[in-house]
Amino acid sequence: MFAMVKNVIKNLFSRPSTRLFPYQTREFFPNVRGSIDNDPEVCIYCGACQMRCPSEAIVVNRAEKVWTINPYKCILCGVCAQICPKKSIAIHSEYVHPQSSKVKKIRQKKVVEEAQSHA
Amino acid sequence: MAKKTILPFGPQHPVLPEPIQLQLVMEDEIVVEAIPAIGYVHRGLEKLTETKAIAENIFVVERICGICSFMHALCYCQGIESLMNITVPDRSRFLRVIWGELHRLHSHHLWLGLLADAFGFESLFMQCWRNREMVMDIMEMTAGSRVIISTNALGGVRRDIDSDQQKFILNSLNKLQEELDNIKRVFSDDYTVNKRLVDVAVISKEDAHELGAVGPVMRASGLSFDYRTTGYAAYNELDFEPIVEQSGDCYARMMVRLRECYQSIDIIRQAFAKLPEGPIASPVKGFPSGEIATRVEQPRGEVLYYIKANGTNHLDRLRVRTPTFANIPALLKMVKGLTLADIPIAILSIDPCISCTER
Amino acid sequence: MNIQIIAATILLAPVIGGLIAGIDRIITARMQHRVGPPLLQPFYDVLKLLGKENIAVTNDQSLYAVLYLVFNVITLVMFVLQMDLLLILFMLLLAVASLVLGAMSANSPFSKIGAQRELIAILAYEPILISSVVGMYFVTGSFSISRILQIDRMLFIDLPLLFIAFTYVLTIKLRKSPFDFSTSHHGHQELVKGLTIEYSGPSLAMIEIAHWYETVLLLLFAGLFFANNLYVAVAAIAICYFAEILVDNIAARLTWQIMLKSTWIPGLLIAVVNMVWVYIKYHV
Repeated sequence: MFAMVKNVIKNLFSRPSTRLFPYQTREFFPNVRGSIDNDPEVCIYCGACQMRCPSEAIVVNRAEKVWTINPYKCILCGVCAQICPKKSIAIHSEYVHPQSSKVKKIRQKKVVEEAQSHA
Repeated sequence: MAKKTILPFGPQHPVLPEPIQLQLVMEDEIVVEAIPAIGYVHRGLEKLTETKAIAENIFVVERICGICSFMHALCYCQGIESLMNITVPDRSRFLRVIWGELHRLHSHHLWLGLLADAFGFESLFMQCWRNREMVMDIMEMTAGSRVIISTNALGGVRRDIDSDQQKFILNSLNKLQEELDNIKRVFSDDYTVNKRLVDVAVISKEDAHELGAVGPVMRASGLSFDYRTTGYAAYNELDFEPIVEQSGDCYARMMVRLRECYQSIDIIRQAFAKLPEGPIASPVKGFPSGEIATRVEQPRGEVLYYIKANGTNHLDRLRVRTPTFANIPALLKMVKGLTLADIPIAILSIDPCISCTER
Repeated sequence: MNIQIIAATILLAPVIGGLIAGIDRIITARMQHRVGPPLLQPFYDVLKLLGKENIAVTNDQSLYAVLYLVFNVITLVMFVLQMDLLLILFMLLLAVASLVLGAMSANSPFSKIGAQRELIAILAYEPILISSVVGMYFVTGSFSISRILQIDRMLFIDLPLLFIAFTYVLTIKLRKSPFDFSTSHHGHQELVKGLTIEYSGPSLAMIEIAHWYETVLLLLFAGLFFANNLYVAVAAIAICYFAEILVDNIAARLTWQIMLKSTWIPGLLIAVVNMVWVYIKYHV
């Protein structure tokens, strides 16, 4: 009957292990797959990532040199970063926070911008 | 004779982690029959694998089930590898065992928490899930992701575990074992817990065999059967015995899983002690052809993959038979004659994973 | 004078009850190693519920929620006005009965089974409640609270076993684990929310507020055992409630069969022993 008392009392008098999330955040381990980004100056727009992406989240426009990723399709498997010939795709450990609209991430040579799009 | 009422248990019910419906035909509080209905989370993943490339399918099969995703990928990779006659490097075989056992650990912790929640023991539920966070941290550190870790690849694994990470993992596992002792004491000795688990939903050895139960449900009824003993991945080089309990009730099924947590920690330690140096993946060229059935022991039991390949980059057919599907007949047998209060515990005792079942 | 007391009771009791619920939730969270909600969370919950649309399955369902609240308020007012304890117990029973009727009228299998379980719970705790009142009668010679309060002895010294039995049934009345099977404070049980499953919005808020009144009443009842010394009484209530929270966190939910056995056999036994003892002490 009283096997749990020890645990419960110990919990009561130690610091809670949950945190008040938006105000206190946890540090991620290095190499966490949080979000994907591309360096438009290094990228050669070969389209290998588009070919190998299992969720078809990446679209590369070779003629206009535009690299687009749909973060809501991306499953963060990391295949694109693995196979990128110039290693211009990088995985960052910061997660994408919830957003009220679905924004595609667009990386263009010389111009870097975030464009609104209704996916 | 009391009037029969039908209690719709599910598809949306707080004690069910995933949607399954059991229409319980009740006489007062006694269940006389249970009619199952599945199909609430069917996503057509088997069909999807026919349109994706063979290497991409790893990410599809991982998403069949969140909790045993690594084992799904492992089973698929092993099937394709044996079709293509690829020998996997020794180091990656051991790494597969390590991640596989970590998955078993976090799955069993999740289940222990859900069981505690089913019999109304919230503080124990929180305790189990807090311990599970340690395993999730290990996953996040070694693989970069908490649940769907995507470390399997055809011909080996995609990430290595270095010596610093090894130290962190072994330290965490020591801590986890201490915490496990704390919750084991409650699960095995507490009066109220025993009242709710002992002699509830008994399934005999013969019935378990007849109804084709797998995994912990089978082992709790006294049948010693664990697919890991056939020695896939690196299990043939590790020393372990299948965990068997005799009584076949919910308590036995709980004890099997609780003891498997200790066993998994032990297996991970052994695997680290024997971890050989070398490459982590062998090159893969060409496409498989032919058909094969492969099996792997998941936390919930044995999963079966049937793969039919035709020499191109797309599969002809992928068929998955998951452990929960095999355990549902046993569940329907055990709920008969139970009171309503014991139904959630009985349903949870097979560790239902409905996403697996319906794919 | 009486009107002022009545108004103060009606206004203050839900505030105190809500604060107790808030403290309860924080301590429970800490016992589970969580930060937990803010202290005023129960009030936020109820305010939010009050702002929602009232969706009732049957017409009389909302009426029963109102009756549950009204009877609980009347019971508490009667207690504060120091009226007859037996009458108070029967008023409390009426309150629970309206809750059961409301659940029965909803025609949902979950709430019906919850109502049946609540009836069994009444069967389990009512004898203990009545015997503690009878025990107080044997000591003081009256059922009236005003007379009981005039006694300069601490009732607990004469009725320790009855107090233990009373705290045991307090677990049932406060809907704490291991006896929270007719409805629980959170929905994770086989009956989902049992008794209150078909209530929503303002009706559910009324049931919640009624539960605050009930909590205050039951804790005052516990304090009655220590009535001659205010500090001891408050301390006893605090310890009693903390014990309830502790038990809530160290026990799995049991079945009604076990509850009935444990309240009737050991519970009633110690109650009767205590009653016989005080009867012999004061009347023979």
